[in-house]
Amino acid sequence: MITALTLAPVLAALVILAVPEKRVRVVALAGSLISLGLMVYMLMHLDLDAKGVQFKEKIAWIPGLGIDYFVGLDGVNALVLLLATLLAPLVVLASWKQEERSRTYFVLLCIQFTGLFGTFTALNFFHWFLYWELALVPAFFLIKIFGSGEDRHRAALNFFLFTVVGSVAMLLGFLFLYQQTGTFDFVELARKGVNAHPLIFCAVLAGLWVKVPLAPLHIWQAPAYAAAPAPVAMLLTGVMSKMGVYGFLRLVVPIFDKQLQHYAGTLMTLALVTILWGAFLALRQTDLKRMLAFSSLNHVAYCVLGVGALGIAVDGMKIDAHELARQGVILQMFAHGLAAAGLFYLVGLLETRTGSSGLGDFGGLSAVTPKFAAAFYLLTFCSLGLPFMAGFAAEFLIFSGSFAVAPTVTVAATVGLLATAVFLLTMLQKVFTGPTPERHNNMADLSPSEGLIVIPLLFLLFFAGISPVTWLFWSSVLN
Amino acid sequence: MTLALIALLPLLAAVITSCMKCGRRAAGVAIVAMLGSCGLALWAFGQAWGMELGKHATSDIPWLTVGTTTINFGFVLDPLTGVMAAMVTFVGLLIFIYSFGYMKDDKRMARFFCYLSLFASGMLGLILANNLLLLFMCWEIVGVASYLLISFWNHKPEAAAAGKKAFIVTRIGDIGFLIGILLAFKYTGTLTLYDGGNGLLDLASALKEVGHGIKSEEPGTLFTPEIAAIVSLLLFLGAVGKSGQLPLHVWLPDAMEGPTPVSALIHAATMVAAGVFLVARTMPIFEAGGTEMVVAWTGAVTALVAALIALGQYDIKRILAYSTVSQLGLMMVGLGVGGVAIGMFHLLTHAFFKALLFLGAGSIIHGCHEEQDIRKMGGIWKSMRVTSIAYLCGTAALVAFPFTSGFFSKDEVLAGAWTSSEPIFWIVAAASLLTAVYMIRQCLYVFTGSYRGENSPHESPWVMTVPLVILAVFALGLGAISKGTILNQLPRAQYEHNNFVIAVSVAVSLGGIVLGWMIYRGRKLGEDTDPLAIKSLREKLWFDEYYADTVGKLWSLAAIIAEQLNELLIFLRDMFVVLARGLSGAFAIGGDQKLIDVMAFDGLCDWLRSLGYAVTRPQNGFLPGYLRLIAIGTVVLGLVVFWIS
Repeated sequence: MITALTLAPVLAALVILAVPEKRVRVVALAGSLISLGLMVYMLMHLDLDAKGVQFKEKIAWIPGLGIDYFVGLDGVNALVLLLATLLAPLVVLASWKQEERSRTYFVLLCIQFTGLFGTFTALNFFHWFLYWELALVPAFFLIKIFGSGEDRHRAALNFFLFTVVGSVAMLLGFLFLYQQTGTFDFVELARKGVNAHPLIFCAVLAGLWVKVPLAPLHIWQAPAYAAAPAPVAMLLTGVMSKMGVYGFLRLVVPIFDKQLQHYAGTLMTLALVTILWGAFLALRQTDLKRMLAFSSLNHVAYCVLGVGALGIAVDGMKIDAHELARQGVILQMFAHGLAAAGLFYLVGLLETRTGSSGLGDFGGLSAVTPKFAAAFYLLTFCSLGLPFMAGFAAEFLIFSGSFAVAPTVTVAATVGLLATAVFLLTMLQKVFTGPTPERHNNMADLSPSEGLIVIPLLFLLFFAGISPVTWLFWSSVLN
Repeated sequence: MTLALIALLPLLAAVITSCMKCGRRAAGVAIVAMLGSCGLALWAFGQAWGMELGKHATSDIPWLTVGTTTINFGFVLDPLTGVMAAMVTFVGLLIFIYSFGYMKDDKRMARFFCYLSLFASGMLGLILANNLLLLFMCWEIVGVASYLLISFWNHKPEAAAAGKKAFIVTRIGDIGFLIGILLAFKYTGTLTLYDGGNGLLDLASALKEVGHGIKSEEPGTLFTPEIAAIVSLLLFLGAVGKSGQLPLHVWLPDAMEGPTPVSALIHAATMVAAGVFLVARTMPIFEAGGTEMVVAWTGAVTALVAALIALGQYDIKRILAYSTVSQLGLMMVGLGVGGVAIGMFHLLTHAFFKALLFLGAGSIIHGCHEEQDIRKMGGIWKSMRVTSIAYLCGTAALVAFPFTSGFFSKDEVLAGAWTSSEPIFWIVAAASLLTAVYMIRQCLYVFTGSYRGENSPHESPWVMTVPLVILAVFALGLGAISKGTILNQLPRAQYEHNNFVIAVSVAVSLGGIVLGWMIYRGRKLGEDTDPLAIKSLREKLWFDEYYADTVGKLWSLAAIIAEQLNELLIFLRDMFVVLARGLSGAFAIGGDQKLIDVMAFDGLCDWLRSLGYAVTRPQNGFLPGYLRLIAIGTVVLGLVVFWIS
């Protein structure tokens, strides 16, 4: 089942190579919808009494080295896989108007989907790492070939090199770990518990560090997000930025729990630095896409704050701080994935309509395009943590968990909330209020087909904000 | 469930009107929803009124269960909820009706009613909430709705800026509030307010009685008076932001950029009162922590400073805005010195007379063709009789003219202050004196003399004046009617109410009126220089400038530092690339060419070649050479053999 879910997009990519050019997007959409359908089916057919990984597929692959093909669904990956499968069809829909070299474009997109789904479902390091890298390569080409701006080649190369260096470090770390334990199996490794050298931990951390990213290895992010075509930026910020956090939950928390306890303070401090740095950087941006990229940096770092909290002991607490933080991290991935993807999509629309994405190029758009403005305002409000939307529930959970164990760092992190409000409201003010420039007077409002992408996102954000328990059901039941 | 409907009806209206185009129909939906909500609130009020002091009817359902922690959301009904909900829905309803007249020419009227309904829903939610987190969530909804309403005419850059400022300044307080919630959550394990003895406020009340930490099995997280004090101060920070107390009052006067009904709804009757309500609701925590006097002092200073600034303003709405800040300060004083009953009593009377004043001001502005500067008004009394009479009723209540509603509630605040702190008493008395002066100044400017504007003013339509008349009746009569019941139904401190206090109370009210009359009598208003509007007061004591120079500068500096550090990183990366290029160059030339090519490969080849050459040299085909070598070999072998044996 999971294998089918993972491979559906790549099969679609094969079909795309065979069909006429004008059918390619339909095939891509079909592929991603099959994945989504399978995902929904799995969530409906979970065995709620069973312990451990479900929909398990475990086949000996290279028995000599003890490598299995092992995939499954559990509490850690259920929601983030749902996020990825939800966003995939929306990304295809958002690229519907991609005319130039559309065959290449959709093939790359589909391969990337498979890479992402595979990363979220693999439970053996061997093919997990293959998927992890597979997700990277199409993104590189998508930015390089289909991106915008002079800077895109450089941005793509930067993005690729930073992540590859991190990945290589991680690979080395796991090879050492393999020497020690003789297995690549995540479940097995977590059960055994490793007593690895700090350097091995650091090597694994490096891969995640770049991917999340955490300061100071974040400098690839903003240029890459700004150069990527809007649908790819949706995917980068919505799903790819979750790979790092997911890696923390899948690798660091269960496998390196001793090391995490040792370095939790450092990790939380790093997250804090990233939160504040990202927020203040966003304040200085004059380009909408770069501003959103730094906003994304800031929001994803909250997840790492929560992960750090998992490493600090909670003896004698009146609240279940670890579980609060853990669920908060999972919900924050979901919430940020949806909201940031939506915002990047809308900024992309703005760019296709006006040809610019500078903060100072707009004004008074709420009078010209009321529906577009309403969607933009709502997504922004979710981003700045408005209650009854998913972002608030997630951030509250993370904060309540991390405050209980590390009050100082958490209080310092709340400055980030204020800075987020400042730059997001400044963005709304500059783009949507004041007098409308002459050239934007005839800008088209959000069309129904564009609404088709935004409305599901908003619906889910409200749903998860009003009733987070519905969505945290999977991550809390499956253990 | 009925309680939930009070908040959900306006929410439903907000959702419906958000999809509507026709303004009149949207207004109808919103007003009907508000009417229903008001009816239910009055019913709830009736239910709550008979309740014994200290009893709370609650209904909770689990909202979120994470691990072993459960957060319940629900509603609470007690006299505090009842009186507040009834007031908000009733004043809100009148403001909704008034808005129908005020906004009827606006193209986006439907959207206006959507925001108004959203606001009402958030406000009612926070009043009804039985969970500190739910209260905070509704509190934020109120904040965002007020942001949308203040910047409703967002084609005006000032309106957009004012909305943003309101949101951000109140968010500073909100972050304090949030940290307070986190702290309370950590140390008590619950955020439910009343939960049959286990709620947060139950625990705080118990803590107050015990006087030291509540025993618990877990020594790590003991709920002590110190913790309660910190929690209460953090919650108070939220209240300071929302209720425009010093030093976070700067957003409120700017917020007057919004349509006037918004000013009345948000900045007189409801939203700014939310901060006062929060303190009233969580009073047990303040009492457990012993921080009531912080509240009282903050309120007293705010009351005096804001009243001073009001003296120097010329914008009719800004005068009222500073007046609101000042009166909110009095409510805080009331809460701090006299308990929930006193603060809430002043909140209640103020809501009616200040809503009246704002709506009256709106009617005047409407009649004067959107003019807000009092120097360009004058003689309104002749042309707008109903509005003028209503406005004077509101003024009488605000200056605490004897036997109006404001008189009764301010008198209680003064009495409470007299008992607990004499300095606060005199500050409040001074603020009351100034209140009378600035209101008389304003009334003389607006109502007397002849009109100084261009087009002659006209009376507003009945849909606007009827709410004014209703509010005027309440502004005059509410105090006398409700005083006894409110003071008995809500908890309050013991204080002495002597004749001296009453005498001071009457003296500052009448004295202020006389003083104002003396100063402005016979002046040519609007042309002569105003003796009280000195520069420092006109410039609002430079609070905005001071903040821009300190916090604002620091903030921009932080952003610049963040950016420069990022540039430094990019520079380092580029240096790394240069280094890597250099290294690879070094390897390519030094390593690849010199070491591998020249030394290793070529060198080996050369060496092999020369070795071959050396080896081939003897094999030159000359026999004597071979024989010579054989002879040498034989001798060497012979020597070796001899040596070994």
